[in-house]
Amino acid sequence: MDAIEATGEEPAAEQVGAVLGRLMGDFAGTAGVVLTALGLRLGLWDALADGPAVPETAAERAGAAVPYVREWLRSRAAAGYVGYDPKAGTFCLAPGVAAVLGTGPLSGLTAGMAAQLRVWWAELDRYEEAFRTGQGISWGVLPAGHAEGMDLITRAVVAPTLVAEWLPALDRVVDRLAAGAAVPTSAAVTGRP
Amino acid sequence: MIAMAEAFPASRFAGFDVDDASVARARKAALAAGVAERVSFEVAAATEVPGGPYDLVTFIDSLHDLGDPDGALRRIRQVLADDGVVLLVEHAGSDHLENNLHPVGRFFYAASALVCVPNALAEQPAGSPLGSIPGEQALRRVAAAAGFARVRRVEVEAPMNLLLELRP
Repeated sequence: MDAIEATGEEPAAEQVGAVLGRLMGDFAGTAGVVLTALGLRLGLWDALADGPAVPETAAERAGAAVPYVREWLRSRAAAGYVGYDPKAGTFCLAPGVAAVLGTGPLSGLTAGMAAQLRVWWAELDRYEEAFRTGQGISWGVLPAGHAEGMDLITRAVVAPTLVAEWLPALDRVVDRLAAGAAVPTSAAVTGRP
Repeated sequence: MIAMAEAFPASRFAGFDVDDASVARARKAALAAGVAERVSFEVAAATEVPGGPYDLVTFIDSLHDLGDPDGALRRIRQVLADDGVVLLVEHAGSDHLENNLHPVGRFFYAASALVCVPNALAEQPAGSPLGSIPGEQALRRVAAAAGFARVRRVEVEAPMNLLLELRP
Protein backbone atom coordinates (compact mmCIF):
# COMPACT_ATOMS: atom_id res chain seq x y z
CA MET A 1 0.00 0.00 0.00
CA ASP A 2 1.55 3.30 -0.98
CA ALA A 3 1.06 6.73 0.53
CA ILE A 4 -1.59 7.77 -1.91
CA GLU A 5 -3.75 4.76 -1.17
CA ALA A 6 -3.13 5.19 2.55
CA THR A 7 -4.57 8.68 2.55
CA GLY A 8 -7.25 7.77 0.08
CA GLU A 9 -6.29 10.79 -1.99
CA GLU A 10 -5.61 10.42 -5.68
CA PRO A 11 -4.23 13.64 -7.08
CA ALA A 12 -6.83 15.04 -9.40
CA ALA A 13 -5.72 15.56 -12.98
CA GLU A 14 -6.26 19.30 -12.57
CA GLN A 15 -3.96 19.36 -9.52
CA VAL A 16 -1.19 17.69 -11.48
CA GLY A 17 -1.90 20.09 -14.31
CA ALA A 18 -1.64 23.06 -11.96
CA VAL A 19 1.77 21.90 -10.73
CA LEU A 20 2.98 21.44 -14.29
CA GLY A 21 1.67 24.89 -15.12
CA ARG A 22 3.53 26.38 -12.16
CA LEU A 23 6.72 24.64 -13.24
CA MET A 24 6.24 25.85 -16.80
CA GLY A 25 6.10 29.37 -15.43
CA ASP A 26 9.40 28.80 -13.62
CA PHE A 27 11.01 27.37 -16.76
CA ALA A 28 9.75 30.33 -18.78
CA GLY A 29 11.08 32.80 -16.22
CA THR A 30 14.44 31.10 -15.88
CA ALA A 31 15.01 30.77 -19.62
CA GLY A 32 13.61 34.25 -20.16
CA VAL A 33 16.10 35.89 -17.80
CA VAL A 34 18.86 34.46 -19.98
CA LEU A 35 17.39 36.34 -22.94
CA THR A 36 16.81 39.50 -20.89
CA ALA A 37 20.47 39.45 -19.85
CA LEU A 38 21.55 38.83 -23.45
CA GLY A 39 19.48 41.84 -24.43
CA LEU A 40 21.55 43.99 -22.06
CA ARG A 41 24.82 42.68 -23.47
CA LEU A 42 23.70 43.14 -27.08
CA GLY A 43 21.98 46.49 -26.63
CA LEU A 44 18.64 45.11 -27.76
CA TRP A 45 16.72 46.98 -25.08
CA ASP A 46 18.31 50.25 -26.15
CA ALA A 47 17.61 49.37 -29.78
CA LEU A 48 13.91 49.11 -29.04
CA ALA A 49 14.00 52.27 -26.94
CA ASP A 50 14.77 54.13 -30.18
CA GLY A 51 11.22 53.40 -31.33
CA PRO A 52 8.95 50.61 -32.59
CA ALA A 53 10.75 48.23 -34.91
CA VAL A 54 10.25 45.14 -37.00
CA PRO A 55 12.81 42.42 -36.21
CA GLU A 56 15.01 43.44 -39.15
CA THR A 57 15.21 47.02 -37.89
CA ALA A 58 15.85 46.03 -34.28
CA ALA A 59 18.56 43.63 -35.41
CA GLU A 60 20.21 46.29 -37.54
CA ARG A 61 20.14 48.83 -34.71
CA ALA A 62 21.78 46.37 -32.31
CA GLY A 63 24.14 44.83 -34.84
CA ALA A 64 22.73 41.34 -34.25
CA ALA A 65 21.42 38.55 -36.47
CA VAL A 66 17.77 38.73 -37.51
CA PRO A 67 16.68 35.12 -36.76
CA TYR A 68 17.93 35.42 -33.18
CA VAL A 69 16.50 38.86 -32.66
CA ARG A 70 13.10 37.78 -34.02
CA GLU A 71 12.78 35.02 -31.43
CA TRP A 72 14.17 37.29 -28.74
CA LEU A 73 11.45 39.84 -29.50
CA ARG A 74 8.73 37.19 -29.52
CA SER A 75 9.85 35.74 -26.22
CA ARG A 76 10.17 39.14 -24.52
CA ALA A 77 6.75 40.10 -25.90
CA ALA A 78 5.24 36.93 -24.43
CA ALA A 79 6.85 37.89 -21.12
CA GLY A 80 5.28 41.36 -21.20
CA TYR A 81 8.45 43.43 -21.48
CA VAL A 82 7.84 44.16 -25.15
CA GLY A 83 4.64 45.17 -26.89
CA TYR A 84 3.60 43.82 -30.29
CA ASP A 85 1.51 45.49 -32.97
CA PRO A 86 0.18 42.66 -35.15
CA LYS A 87 -0.93 45.02 -37.93
CA ALA A 88 2.44 46.70 -38.37
CA GLY A 89 4.47 43.70 -37.24
CA THR A 90 6.46 46.03 -34.97
CA PHE A 91 7.73 45.55 -31.45
CA CYS A 92 8.17 48.29 -28.86
CA LEU A 93 9.21 48.56 -25.22
CA ALA A 94 6.38 48.24 -22.71
CA PRO A 95 5.93 51.29 -20.46
CA GLY A 96 8.64 51.56 -17.79
CA VAL A 97 10.96 49.01 -19.37
CA ALA A 98 13.45 51.57 -20.69
CA ALA A 99 13.97 52.90 -17.16
CA VAL A 100 14.86 49.45 -15.83
CA LEU A 101 16.60 47.72 -18.75
CA GLY A 102 17.83 50.60 -20.89
CA THR A 103 21.24 52.17 -20.40
CA GLY A 104 21.00 53.74 -16.98
CA PRO A 105 21.70 53.15 -13.31
CA LEU A 106 18.95 50.56 -12.79
CA SER A 107 20.19 48.18 -15.51
CA GLY A 108 22.88 47.01 -13.08
CA LEU A 109 20.18 45.24 -11.11
CA THR A 110 19.46 42.85 -13.96
CA ALA A 111 23.07 42.56 -15.11
CA GLY A 112 24.15 41.78 -11.55
CA MET A 113 21.34 39.33 -10.95
CA ALA A 114 22.23 37.54 -14.20
CA ALA A 115 25.86 37.29 -13.09
CA GLN A 116 24.79 35.67 -9.83
CA LEU A 117 22.30 33.29 -11.47
CA ARG A 118 25.04 32.16 -13.80
CA VAL A 119 27.27 31.27 -10.84
CA TRP A 120 24.48 29.45 -9.00
CA TRP A 121 23.86 27.18 -11.97
CA ALA A 122 27.55 26.64 -12.62
CA GLU A 123 28.14 25.72 -8.97
CA LEU A 124 25.27 23.24 -8.71
CA ASP A 125 27.63 20.41 -7.71
CA ARG A 126 29.14 22.53 -4.95
CA TYR A 127 25.70 23.40 -3.60
CA GLU A 128 24.61 19.77 -3.66
CA GLU A 129 27.67 18.84 -1.62
CA ALA A 130 27.07 21.71 0.83
CA PHE A 131 23.46 20.68 1.36
CA ARG A 132 24.61 17.13 2.13
CA THR A 133 27.46 18.04 4.47
CA GLY A 134 26.24 21.29 6.00
CA GLN A 135 29.55 22.91 5.13
CA GLY A 136 29.61 26.58 4.25
CA ILE A 137 30.52 28.29 0.99
CA SER A 138 32.24 31.62 1.51
CA TRP A 139 32.00 34.48 -0.98
CA GLY A 140 35.69 34.07 -1.69
CA VAL A 141 35.44 30.56 -3.15
CA LEU A 142 32.74 31.43 -5.67
CA PRO A 143 33.80 32.74 -9.09
CA ALA A 144 34.48 36.49 -9.11
CA GLY A 145 31.33 37.09 -11.17
CA HIS A 146 29.27 36.45 -8.06
CA ALA A 147 30.69 39.32 -6.02
CA GLU A 148 30.88 41.52 -9.11
CA GLY A 149 27.17 40.87 -9.65
CA MET A 150 26.46 41.88 -6.07
CA ASP A 151 28.44 45.05 -6.65
CA LEU A 152 26.35 45.90 -9.72
CA ILE A 153 23.13 45.30 -7.79
CA THR A 154 24.32 47.43 -4.87
CA ARG A 155 25.30 50.31 -7.14
CA ALA A 156 21.97 50.12 -8.93
CA VAL A 157 19.50 49.86 -6.08
CA VAL A 158 21.25 50.52 -2.76
CA ALA A 159 23.73 53.36 -3.21
CA PRO A 160 21.31 55.98 -4.61
CA THR A 161 18.60 55.18 -2.07
CA LEU A 162 21.00 55.08 0.87
CA VAL A 163 22.19 58.63 0.28
CA ALA A 164 18.95 60.17 -0.97
CA GLU A 165 16.42 58.54 1.33
CA TRP A 166 17.76 56.30 4.08
CA LEU A 167 20.41 58.47 5.73
CA PRO A 168 18.10 61.53 5.75
CA ALA A 169 15.49 59.44 7.57
CA LEU A 170 17.87 58.90 10.49
CA ASP A 171 17.83 61.26 13.41
CA ARG A 172 20.45 64.08 12.95
CA VAL A 173 22.85 61.88 10.97
CA VAL A 174 23.05 63.86 7.71
CA ASP A 175 23.99 67.09 9.51
CA ARG A 176 26.72 65.25 11.29
CA LEU A 177 28.10 63.69 8.12
CA ALA A 178 27.95 67.00 6.31
CA ALA A 179 29.86 68.68 9.13
CA GLY A 180 32.49 65.97 8.90
CA ALA A 181 35.62 67.40 10.47
CA ALA A 182 33.50 69.29 12.98
CA VAL A 183 32.32 65.96 14.27
CA PRO A 184 35.08 64.65 16.50
CA THR A 185 35.22 61.18 14.98
CA SER A 186 34.69 59.47 11.69
CA ALA A 187 32.02 57.48 9.96
CA ALA A 188 32.32 53.86 9.10
CA VAL A 189 30.59 51.21 7.17
CA THR A 190 30.80 47.54 7.68
CA GLY A 191 29.50 44.92 5.37
CA ARG A 192 30.00 44.41 1.69
CA PRO A 193 31.56 47.32 -0.13
CA MET B 1 30.09 53.56 0.75
CA ILE B 2 31.69 55.40 -2.13
CA ALA B 3 28.31 57.02 -2.78
CA MET B 4 28.25 58.24 0.82
CA ALA B 5 31.79 59.57 0.53
CA GLU B 6 30.80 61.49 -2.59
CA ALA B 7 27.75 62.92 -0.83
CA PHE B 8 29.63 63.94 2.34
CA PRO B 9 33.08 65.24 1.38
CA ALA B 10 33.92 66.32 4.94
CA SER B 11 33.59 62.82 6.43
CA ARG B 12 35.89 59.84 6.43
CA PHE B 13 34.73 56.29 5.76
CA ALA B 14 36.09 52.83 6.48
CA GLY B 15 34.82 49.56 5.02
CA PHE B 16 35.51 46.08 6.33
CA ASP B 17 35.03 42.67 4.78
CA VAL B 18 36.58 39.25 5.29
CA ASP B 19 36.83 38.64 1.55
CA ASP B 20 40.15 40.06 0.32
CA ALA B 21 39.07 40.06 -3.31
CA SER B 22 36.08 42.24 -2.41
CA VAL B 23 38.32 44.59 -0.45
CA ALA B 24 40.74 44.85 -3.38
CA ARG B 25 37.89 45.63 -5.78
CA ALA B 26 36.45 48.23 -3.41
CA ARG B 27 39.83 49.97 -3.09
CA LYS B 28 40.10 50.13 -6.86
CA ALA B 29 36.59 51.57 -7.09
CA ALA B 30 37.40 54.22 -4.47
CA LEU B 31 40.49 55.23 -6.42
CA ALA B 32 38.48 55.44 -9.63
CA ALA B 33 35.87 57.60 -7.91
CA GLY B 34 38.54 59.94 -6.58
CA VAL B 35 37.63 59.47 -2.93
CA ALA B 36 40.43 57.13 -1.86
CA GLU B 37 42.04 59.57 0.57
CA ARG B 38 38.87 59.62 2.68
CA VAL B 39 37.78 56.03 2.13
CA SER B 40 39.68 53.00 3.36
CA PHE B 41 38.90 49.33 2.96
CA GLU B 42 40.45 46.69 5.18
CA VAL B 43 40.17 42.94 5.50
CA ALA B 44 38.56 42.37 8.89
CA ALA B 45 35.75 40.32 10.32
CA ALA B 46 32.80 42.31 11.62
CA THR B 47 33.53 40.86 15.05
CA GLU B 48 37.01 42.41 14.94
CA VAL B 49 36.41 45.82 13.38
CA PRO B 50 39.35 48.02 14.37
CA GLY B 51 39.47 51.73 15.12
CA GLY B 52 36.71 54.01 16.22
CA PRO B 53 34.94 55.61 17.87
CA TYR B 54 32.66 55.82 14.85
CA ASP B 55 29.68 58.15 14.42
CA LEU B 56 27.78 55.95 12.04
CA VAL B 57 27.99 52.26 11.24
CA THR B 58 25.89 50.74 8.47
CA PHE B 59 24.99 47.14 7.78
CA ILE B 60 23.30 47.04 4.38
CA ASP B 61 21.68 43.66 3.78
CA SER B 62 24.77 42.14 5.34
CA LEU B 63 24.21 41.23 8.99
CA HIS B 64 22.38 38.04 7.97
CA ASP B 65 25.41 37.01 5.89
CA LEU B 66 27.64 36.88 8.94
CA GLY B 67 28.44 33.73 10.87
CA ASP B 68 28.23 35.56 14.19
CA PRO B 69 25.77 38.45 13.88
CA ASP B 70 25.46 38.76 17.66
CA GLY B 71 29.21 39.08 18.02
CA ALA B 72 29.36 41.56 15.15
CA LEU B 73 26.85 43.90 16.78
CA ARG B 74 28.60 43.52 20.15
CA ARG B 75 31.87 44.57 18.52
CA ILE B 76 30.18 47.51 16.79
CA ARG B 77 28.78 48.63 20.14
CA GLN B 78 32.37 48.75 21.43
CA VAL B 79 33.72 50.88 18.57
CA LEU B 80 30.67 53.14 18.25
CA ALA B 81 30.75 56.61 19.76
CA ASP B 82 28.44 56.92 22.76
CA ASP B 83 26.18 59.17 20.72
CA GLY B 84 26.75 57.17 17.53
CA VAL B 85 24.16 55.47 15.34
CA VAL B 86 23.90 52.12 13.61
CA LEU B 87 21.80 51.88 10.47
CA LEU B 88 20.77 48.26 10.15
CA VAL B 89 19.17 47.52 6.78
CA GLU B 90 17.75 44.08 6.22
CA HIS B 91 15.43 42.46 3.71
CA ALA B 92 11.80 43.19 4.52
CA GLY B 93 9.65 40.41 5.84
CA SER B 94 7.71 39.11 8.77
CA ASP B 95 9.11 37.12 11.69
CA HIS B 96 6.47 34.56 10.76
CA LEU B 97 7.21 32.38 7.76
CA GLU B 98 3.57 32.06 6.84
CA ASN B 99 3.45 35.79 6.10
CA ASN B 100 6.44 35.63 3.74
CA LEU B 101 5.11 33.01 1.33
CA HIS B 102 4.78 35.39 -1.62
CA PRO B 103 6.98 36.36 -4.61
CA VAL B 104 9.38 38.52 -2.57
CA GLY B 105 9.80 35.79 0.01
CA ARG B 106 10.18 33.29 -2.79
CA PHE B 107 13.17 35.21 -4.10
CA PHE B 108 14.83 36.07 -0.79
CA TYR B 109 14.54 32.58 0.68
CA ALA B 110 16.14 31.20 -2.48
CA ALA B 111 18.95 33.75 -2.29
CA SER B 112 19.27 32.88 1.39
CA ALA B 113 19.89 29.22 0.63
CA LEU B 114 22.35 30.01 -2.18
CA VAL B 115 24.26 32.97 -0.75
CA CYS B 116 23.53 34.04 2.81
CA VAL B 117 23.35 30.76 4.69
CA PRO B 118 26.36 29.23 2.86
CA ASN B 119 28.51 32.25 3.74
CA ALA B 120 27.34 32.33 7.35
CA LEU B 121 28.09 28.61 7.70
CA ALA B 122 31.54 29.15 6.19
CA GLU B 123 32.27 31.76 8.85
CA GLN B 124 30.76 29.74 11.68
CA PRO B 125 30.42 26.01 10.97
CA ALA B 126 27.34 24.45 12.56
CA GLY B 127 26.11 27.94 13.39
CA SER B 128 22.53 29.05 13.25
CA PRO B 129 22.33 31.68 10.47
CA LEU B 130 19.67 34.38 10.57
CA GLY B 131 18.65 33.76 6.98
CA SER B 132 17.95 36.54 4.54
CA ILE B 133 14.56 37.45 6.05
CA PRO B 134 15.48 37.67 9.73
CA GLY B 135 12.37 39.61 10.80
CA GLU B 136 12.15 42.74 12.93
CA GLN B 137 11.63 41.04 16.29
CA ALA B 138 14.62 38.76 15.81
CA LEU B 139 16.76 41.77 14.87
CA ARG B 140 15.56 43.67 17.92
CA ARG B 141 16.56 40.74 20.13
CA VAL B 142 20.06 40.65 18.60
CA ALA B 143 20.41 44.42 18.98
CA ALA B 144 19.27 44.41 22.60
CA ALA B 145 21.63 41.57 23.46
CA ALA B 146 24.51 43.55 21.95
CA GLY B 147 23.81 46.54 24.19
CA PHE B 148 21.68 48.77 22.01
CA ALA B 149 19.01 50.18 24.29
CA ARG B 150 17.18 52.26 21.71
CA VAL B 151 15.93 50.65 18.51
CA ARG B 152 13.68 52.57 16.17
CA ARG B 153 11.98 51.39 13.01
CA VAL B 154 12.86 53.90 10.30
CA GLU B 155 9.82 54.57 8.18
CA VAL B 156 10.83 54.96 4.57
CA GLU B 157 9.30 53.94 1.26
CA ALA B 158 11.34 50.74 0.81
CA PRO B 159 9.10 47.75 0.15
CA MET B 160 12.04 45.35 -0.10
CA ASN B 161 13.86 46.56 3.00
CA LEU B 162 13.47 46.91 6.74
CA LEU B 163 15.44 49.76 8.32
CA LEU B 164 16.31 49.94 12.01
CA GLU B 165 18.16 52.75 13.78
CA LEU B 166 20.18 51.45 16.73
CA ARG B 167 21.57 53.60 19.52
CA PRO B 168 23.33 52.58 22.74
